[in-house]
Order: sequence, then C-alpha cells, then structure tokens
Amino acid sequence: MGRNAVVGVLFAYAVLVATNLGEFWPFSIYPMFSQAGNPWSRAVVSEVDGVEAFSWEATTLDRLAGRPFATKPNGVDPIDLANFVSKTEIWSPGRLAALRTMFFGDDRPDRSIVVYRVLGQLENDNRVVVEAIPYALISPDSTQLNTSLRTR
Amino acid sequence: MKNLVDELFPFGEPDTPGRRVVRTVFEAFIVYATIQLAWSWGLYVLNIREIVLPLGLARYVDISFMFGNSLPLANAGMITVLVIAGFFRLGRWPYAAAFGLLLVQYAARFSLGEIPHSSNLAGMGLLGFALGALMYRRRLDASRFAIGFSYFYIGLGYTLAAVSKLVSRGPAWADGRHLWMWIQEKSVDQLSKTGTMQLNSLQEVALADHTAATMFLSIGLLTETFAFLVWWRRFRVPVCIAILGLHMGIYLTMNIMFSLSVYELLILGLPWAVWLDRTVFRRAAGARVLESS
Repeated sequence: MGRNAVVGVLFAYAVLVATNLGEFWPFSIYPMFSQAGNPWSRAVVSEVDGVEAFSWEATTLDRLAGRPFATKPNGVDPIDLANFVSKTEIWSPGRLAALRTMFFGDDRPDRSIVVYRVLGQLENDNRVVVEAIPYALISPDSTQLNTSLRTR
Repeated sequence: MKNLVDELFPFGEPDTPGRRVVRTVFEAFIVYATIQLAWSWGLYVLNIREIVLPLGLARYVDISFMFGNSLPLANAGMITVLVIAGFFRLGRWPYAAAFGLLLVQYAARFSLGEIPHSSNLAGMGLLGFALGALMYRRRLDASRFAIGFSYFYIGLGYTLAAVSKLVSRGPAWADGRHLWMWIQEKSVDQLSKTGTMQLNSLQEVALADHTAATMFLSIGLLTETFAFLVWWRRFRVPVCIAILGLHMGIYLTMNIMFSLSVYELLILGLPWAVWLDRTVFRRAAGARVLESS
C-alpha cells in the first residue's frame, strides 16, 4: 500500500509540474539557481524628503536618492517587490495602486519613497555591472511613474 | 525495488522507545510548520490586492476572492484546528483537509511573483501524514509511512534540483562567475530587506578567487546530485549531513536560509533513535531491572 501511494503521488507530481511550468506546491522541479549567469532583476527602496528635485535617471547603488528604506521591518517581502516590479508589463492605475497598498495598506502614505528596479549582468571583462532605475515615486499626495514605462 | 520499499517503509521492524520519540517529534514539527506557514501566509495576504503571477491552484481558480477580507485568517484558523485534530487522531481526514486548505493559502500568498521553495519539504511531510492517516488505522504504521514518504521526496527533491541545473547549463553551471552574480544579487536583496549591504568573509573570498567560487558550487552540485542515496539507510546520515552543509553554504554565500528544511533534516537525518535507545532508554530499562530484582 505504501509503495502504491508513493508511486501514485509521483505520477501526480510529474503531471502537475509538467503542466504548471515546473511548480505546483509542494511539488517542484526546483529550478532555482539553474539559470546560472543570466542577468538578474531586483528592487530596492529609498526614502526621500522632497519630490520636487527628484531625477528619473538610472544610477548606481551608491548614488540612490535619499536614504535606504528597509522593506522587511515595514512588512514588505523584498522578493515579492522585486518580482512585482520586474514582472509588471503594463503599469495600469490598478497596478500602481497595488504597489502603494503593498507598502501602506489602505492608509495614506506617511512618507515619500522611491522604488528602484535594479539590474545586474556579467560583462565580458568578468565584472558584474549593477544599475538602478527609478520606477515609482510614492508620496502622501501622489504616486508618480517613470514616464518610460508602459501604462496601457 | 522490494529492497528500496523495505528501506523506506520498515513496517515489520520492532518498535523502540527511541523510534517512538523521533516519530512523535517529527509529526509535531510538521504540525508546527503547517500552523506557522498558514498564519504567516494568511497575514501577508491581507495586504495583497492584485495577482501578478498565479501559481498552483491560482492558475485554475481566480484566487482574488481571498483578497480584501479576513478569509486568509479564517483559513489559517481552520488549518490550525485541523492539524491539531490530526495530531490527536480525531478522525482520519483532518490532515488531508488541512493540506487542501493550505494549497489555497499558498495560492493566495504567492500571487505576486515570488516562487518560494522553503516550505516544500514541510508540505510534502504534511501530505505524507495525510496519506498515512487515510491508509493506515494504526498510528505506528501511518507515522512510519509518513517518514518513509518524506525520505523519498527529500532525496527526489534535491536530486531534481541538480538535474535542473545540469539540464540548464551542464557542468559549466559550477563556473565561479555564476556565484559572483548570485552574491551581488542577494546583496541587493539584503539592501532592500534591511537597508544595509555587508559582505561576509566567505563572500569576499568567493568574489576574490574564481577557483574558490567554482569549488563552492561544485561541492554543492555534487551534494544535490547524490541526495537520492538518502533512500537507503546506510547513506542516510552522511547524505543528510552533506545537505545540511549545503544549506549552511547557501546561507553564508547568499543569505538564504531554508529554516524549515534544515529543521526537518536535523530531525530525520541524525540517528536520534539509536542514540536515545543506547543512552536514555537503556539506562531507564536497566534501572527497572535493578528495581524488580
């Protein structure tokens, strides 16, 4: 009976991962870290004091605006944030509102933050080059988006 | 095949006090892990409003009914009651029902893009106990099935991870430059999570020395490749210790800790039953013999 159960689950495991892009919790082909050497995309957040003089130019990690904003103590999972920013193709008003909700729930934002998308890739000279692109500026009065992003 | 079945499911083996302790501790751990996952996922869902990447059940069912209300907390409460009922054998269905509800909780929590793997072993453990309770009337047999089931999927899981890597990149996967990329990536995650970015000694060694970085990845890949040997008892302890070392290396180089997987490996991978039977329970048995004489 035990062997039959294991074989049955194994069959279900194979079918479910084959038909669901390798993932159907708790079944998985465990593909994490298999895409070695590919460029990656993450996200970081800065807290800024004013929004007037903010620049939307790409920059480096040591030149981010304002000061670092730690996501974990503020209830935001950094992996969720990174995936939210990188996997969003169309920044609709609903998607922008969802980003704001991720940080502030249903409350009005009590500070101004900048959400950066951070891209890393291996150059030919074996250096890892990292670039931070500001995507959204969330403040108490508004939520602004980098104009280069698609909104519809 | 028969030998492998006997290795995983020793139903005819005499029971000992040490084995009873390990089975009970493992089942209690799975109950604890399930409750922790149900509540941590449920609390996080309270701040989710949009589906970015549907996973699991969410690919077939619109999981947004879990957003903007207290259903995630109610679900966590129900899962808690069910696994406790399962642990105290109040019926044969509670573990299975808890597993089903946890699938819903997972689909709601992980709809923003993250695809985690830190809870997969615990999930398989819960499935093992669910199936064991349904198939076997005796608690002893149900628990033995769950443990053998867990060993099988521990071995399968880690070996599948190695296969995924080898299919993707071949042996070149272990090139140390790949570790450089991951260290930088995870450093950004650390900056995002805590507001600071600080490399430890092992990360600095890996970033400074391509050969060292390649060696770290090679050892990890070999460990995963041979993880299936955990199916056989004679290899179980060294393989589990090697996998624990793998997790320690992942934590030190990439700041990622699979806590639940590590606890499960500590419980199932070390020969606690043998140690307990040879020490605590042997002394207790000896004392009883002296008293009776």
